Amino acid sequence: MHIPDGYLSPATCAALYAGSAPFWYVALQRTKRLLNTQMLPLISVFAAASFIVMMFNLPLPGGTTGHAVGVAVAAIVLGPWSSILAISIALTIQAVFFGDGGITALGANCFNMAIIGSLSAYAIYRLVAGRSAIESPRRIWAAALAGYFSINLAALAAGIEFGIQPLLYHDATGAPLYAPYPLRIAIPAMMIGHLTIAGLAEMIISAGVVSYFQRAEPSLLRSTAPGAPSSAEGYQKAGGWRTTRPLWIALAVLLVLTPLGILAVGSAWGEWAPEDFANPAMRQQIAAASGQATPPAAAPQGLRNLASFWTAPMPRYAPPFLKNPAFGYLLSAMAGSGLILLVFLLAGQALQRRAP
Amino acid sequence: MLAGRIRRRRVGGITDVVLSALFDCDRVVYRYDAVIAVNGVSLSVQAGTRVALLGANGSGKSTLLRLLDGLYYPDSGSISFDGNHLEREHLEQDEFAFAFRRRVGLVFQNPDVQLFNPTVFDELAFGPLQLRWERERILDRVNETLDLLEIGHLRNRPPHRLSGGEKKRVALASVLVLDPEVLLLDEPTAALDPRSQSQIIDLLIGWGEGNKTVITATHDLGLVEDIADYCYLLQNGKVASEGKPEQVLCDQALLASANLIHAHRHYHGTGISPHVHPHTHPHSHE
Amino acid sequence: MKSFVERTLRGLLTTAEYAATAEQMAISRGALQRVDPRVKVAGILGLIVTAVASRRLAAIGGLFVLALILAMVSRIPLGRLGVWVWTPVLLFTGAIGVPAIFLTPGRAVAAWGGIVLTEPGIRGAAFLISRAETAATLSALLVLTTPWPWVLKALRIFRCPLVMVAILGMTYRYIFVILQTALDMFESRKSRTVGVLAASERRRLAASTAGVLLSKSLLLAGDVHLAMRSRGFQGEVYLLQDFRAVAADWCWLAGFAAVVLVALRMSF
Repeated sequence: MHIPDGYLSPATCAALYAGSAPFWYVALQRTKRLLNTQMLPLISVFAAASFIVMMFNLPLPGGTTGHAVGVAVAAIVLGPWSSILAISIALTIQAVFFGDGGITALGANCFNMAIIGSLSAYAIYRLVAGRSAIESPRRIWAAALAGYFSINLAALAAGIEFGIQPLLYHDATGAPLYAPYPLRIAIPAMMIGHLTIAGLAEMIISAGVVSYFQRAEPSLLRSTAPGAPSSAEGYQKAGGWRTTRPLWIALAVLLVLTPLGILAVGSAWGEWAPEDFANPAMRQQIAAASGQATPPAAAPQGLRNLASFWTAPMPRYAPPFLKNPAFGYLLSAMAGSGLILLVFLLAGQALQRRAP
Repeated sequence: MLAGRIRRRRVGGITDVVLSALFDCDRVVYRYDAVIAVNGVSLSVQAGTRVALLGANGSGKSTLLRLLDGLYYPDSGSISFDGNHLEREHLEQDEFAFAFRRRVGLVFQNPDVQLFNPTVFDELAFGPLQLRWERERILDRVNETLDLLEIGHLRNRPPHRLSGGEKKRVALASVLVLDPEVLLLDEPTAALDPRSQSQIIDLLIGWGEGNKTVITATHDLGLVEDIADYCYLLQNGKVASEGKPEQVLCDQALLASANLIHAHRHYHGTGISPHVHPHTHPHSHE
Repeated sequence: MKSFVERTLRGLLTTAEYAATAEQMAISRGALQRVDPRVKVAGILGLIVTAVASRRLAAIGGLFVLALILAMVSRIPLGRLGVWVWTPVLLFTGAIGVPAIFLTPGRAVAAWGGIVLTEPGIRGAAFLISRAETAATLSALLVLTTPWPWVLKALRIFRCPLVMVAILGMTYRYIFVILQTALDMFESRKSRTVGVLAASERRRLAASTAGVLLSKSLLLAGDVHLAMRSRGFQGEVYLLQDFRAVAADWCWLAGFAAVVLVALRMSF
């Protein structure tokens, strides 16, 4: 699922490079701190081995074969941050030297496979494996699920990236400039292949390699198994404010940029109120956003029934007491992000109290 | 000018000049997890001498070389180089580390381990760059070494495009570029064809003249007399015997128990006779 | 039916072959081969970004023709490009792009039975395929005319951290060592396996081969670390780079810049 050049607009590519950059930075810092002088040879050789494993034709049920990225294996053996680094390096070499995946799309591919892939694989593995023994079969299941879900999340991200292209980028005749399928086609198309073939391939390699290591090299599984004396503990403690600062800065920048949303002309597709169907100006906007399909004369029955069900505290992202829309956006963004962060912080505290 | 330190000792009013050993191992023990690789080895190497560490695979000779190069630290016992203990704290200080790394070079058995840079030129430049030499000095020295080992035509080659013999020469060059006083060699002729083997041996003999210290770990008994004035025979991590090559190589029983030679029988003319040979020594009969 | 062992072997061998040929071409005497690597990296990357950013099919087509000309003066056989780049991209992106011709809403151009081909659909597919082919050709050109270690050193112009350049170089170096190990392992599996294995056996074989490869690699990494420390590595990464730009290189840079400007002007 390496995205080639030409499928994503330059803006999308740039956004995904920008989105990846803070993760790469944090990954580099944490890996340097964890591995010291060993970082250079270890990451390089592991990336090289991942490159080769990505070329394996894995036998799948049904007689087909498929390729795996092996991101869950990397996350389980190296930990999430070093895995981000190693997989990104392997993807870079594939893209630049072997033409497998685009160069402008490298940021996107790293974001989907290396970053989303590593972090989700690690989280799922830790969640499912819990505190079970290194040799326990539960870890094999954990690895299988981590592999399966992480690659599907990566595929979902790619599907979304594809699907928004025709919405945002088309020329005067309406021809899509990049990936030509809207979300309702792009997402199922991506997911079908990954929920079946690619997902199975990841499952097989993740479960198989972890099973092999359980028998032959259990020490390789220690660093992501809590309770075992290892440097992974120091890993989590060595983090803290300093190494996540770039992520906070990135979040702050994104927050400040939210008022740019006002520049978007018209209304988002599907986010109309019942009264918009009667307003001629709004009707034009609805038509323009729906590929010139004529909107119904009146709002659909279901929409009218449910529209009054919930009144948001900050309707249309504009708190009633604020007159300036930009500031209203900003405030809404901060409130929204703040709420999400609060939820995750509380969840994190709860989990930490249970795990060592 | 001897590299070893000269200690003056007062004995009853007379000053004695005593040469201390360049390398001094005192009851060194080293373990890999549960396996004891080096089990109480004591030896000393004088400056300017050529020493062979003989042993089969698993005898601990490679581990010993790495201990001598300050890459592993002994679990018990001590190793010193020129009077300084090779300990983790010392080797983490840049000043001591740079001085030591410049004076002592180790050529690994597997050249793929040693050739980790994208081109031959980068490989030779790696050591000097780490030791923070100036750019001009590095360029000059690298070119000089390429010529010395006759590998100038390989300067831009990536390592995977080199033959076995070429890799070995590049590996050697990458260490010689620093102009060390001591060369530690781990099976220098392993996996080489006979011609490359003799080229390497000639190179080493040539380089060794002039007060350089060479310590070679090998199981190739045919090599020993050419490259060493003194040997240590290692077995199961211990020194089983030491002495001049002629002496050590005489004790067939010991050599056999250390797995360095084997007894076999083959035809001579029309009759079978038993022979005892070192394993890698080609031989012919009239 | 080819077993997965044979298919993997074939894939690995093809990779090795491609790398060997690329390395040969990169040191042969052609126009692009002589250009300073930094100019090439900046210039070709600029052309790729332009191809991706253009909103005019004509601009993209022009860039493709330019790529062809550059390939010819650099002695890159077009037939090889056809096999390595154009055909795979056409098959893959073609398969993805062609359905857009009748799935994209817009002004109809032709109709067959119930299937309507639209103008936006045709243009959309054309954009996708032409961009993919042009970008892929340009990036192949970069790699076929510049030795990989020089491409890496040239990345420094983009302020790529030294340690990343070093990691990329070492990764590339060890891909070939591990490739050889993998080839040996699969060759010996191929000769040892008699008859057809059960499906679960095959899966276990594939996964344990990967496991063995990974653990051997980690051992190798440990030894490489020792070799690095043995020559004075204390954690700092240094780079020695000997690129010297001559007048011709500045001309090339100007040329690249001019093409980029013209192509972008056409689009906006």
